[in-house]
Amino acid sequence: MTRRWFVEAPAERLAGARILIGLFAFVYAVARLPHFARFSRFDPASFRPVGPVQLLSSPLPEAATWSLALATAAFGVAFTLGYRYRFTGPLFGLLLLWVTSYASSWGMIFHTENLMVLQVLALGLGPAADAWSLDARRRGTPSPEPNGRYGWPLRLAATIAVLAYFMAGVAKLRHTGLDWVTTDFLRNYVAYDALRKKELGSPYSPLGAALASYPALWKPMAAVSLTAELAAPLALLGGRFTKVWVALVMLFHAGVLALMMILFAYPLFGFAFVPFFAIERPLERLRARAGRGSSETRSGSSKTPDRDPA
Amino acid sequence: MTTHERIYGGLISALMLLAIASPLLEDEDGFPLSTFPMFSRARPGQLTLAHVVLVQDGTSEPVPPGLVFSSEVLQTKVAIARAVRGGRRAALELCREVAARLHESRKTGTVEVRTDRYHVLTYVDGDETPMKSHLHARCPVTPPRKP
Repeated sequence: MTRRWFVEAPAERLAGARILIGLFAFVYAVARLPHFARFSRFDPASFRPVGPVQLLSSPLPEAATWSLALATAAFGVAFTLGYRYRFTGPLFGLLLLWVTSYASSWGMIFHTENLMVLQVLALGLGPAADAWSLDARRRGTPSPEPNGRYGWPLRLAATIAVLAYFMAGVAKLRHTGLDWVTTDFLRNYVAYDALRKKELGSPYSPLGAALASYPALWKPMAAVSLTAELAAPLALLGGRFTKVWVALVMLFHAGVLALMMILFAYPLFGFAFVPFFAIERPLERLRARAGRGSSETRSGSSKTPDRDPA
Repeated sequence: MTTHERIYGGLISALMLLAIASPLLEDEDGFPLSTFPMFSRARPGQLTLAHVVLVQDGTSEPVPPGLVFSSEVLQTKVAIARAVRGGRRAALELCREVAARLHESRKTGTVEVRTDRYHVLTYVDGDETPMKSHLHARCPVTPPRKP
């Protein structure tokens, strides 16, 4: 168990996860800046703090929310580039945790953000800037050998993803039981969602509304979705288990987008599953293609263990 | 890998995973620790919804959430429900705010804040007529009133 948790991994693998996940989180923080900063139109009476925001008894002034949102974006750059990482890694995780929690403290929880925040925190607490970073360039030392210290943050981030999907499956069984699969639950849910969005003037899925008229489609879709969630722990076995599960979950999110117009961008575009794979290999190929990297660090591919990290 | 690094990594991992799994015990949703209950609770066969519509030439269309309160549709739903709960005056205030924004968007017609009840599957089959309707406020699309 301990050996599997602290499995040796190249520093470049953890660094690759830092760059990709950090880049997503940074772009997300910038693209959603008003969502994280502008709360003046909200009624203070509807302030329902969640997570660390429960430390507050009343909302922050708008100057503070803007400052925190801008600081989050700025530390996102430092996180992604690996600059002063021992300080900026955990701090970016904490800032992202704060601004996302604050945005979810007004009566609506944004479940599209949990996984990203938790994985950024996991990577921020590990040595993810020992390679492919401004810190590594400043030190000027050769890239380190594969080590268990680069394995556990990836294992942790992968297990967080598995746990999130497994818990979503458990929630369905707990609240609805097997009725989730054996009845018209999903069909009714999608129809309800389409109606509500349309009547609130929001973009909705005409496809979901149209397919709701075909009852036979929905039970198989519900079965596949619930299976994907409850089978999540198998993804930690590695190899084909991981690949099949990741493909299934990405397909599930594509379905959620097509049928309900709900975008879970982080898992849909694969960022949530980066910690499962030897991501340094395609990144090294990209670096080589760009004609950089050969003189900066030793080639990471020779140090890359053959087995899949998961 | 040193013993110190192993203890640190083990401790961080154990604490994070225990914290993430902890909502299972209470079945309590939150952020960032959640039971991930999205899509897990049954929806009723009928939907009663307070919303804001623009009536123009005898047809009504829902006003986009960005012109009502926020671009987030569920936050807007909460804001409309709060205005409706606040009584006729609060509903009329919301109506006038939306009418002013629509005027800025060069729209014409009448704004209505109302609660409609629909049969979900009948609606997606094409009959979008509400089963029941209650009007809370109505106001023309006009420029904002000066304070």
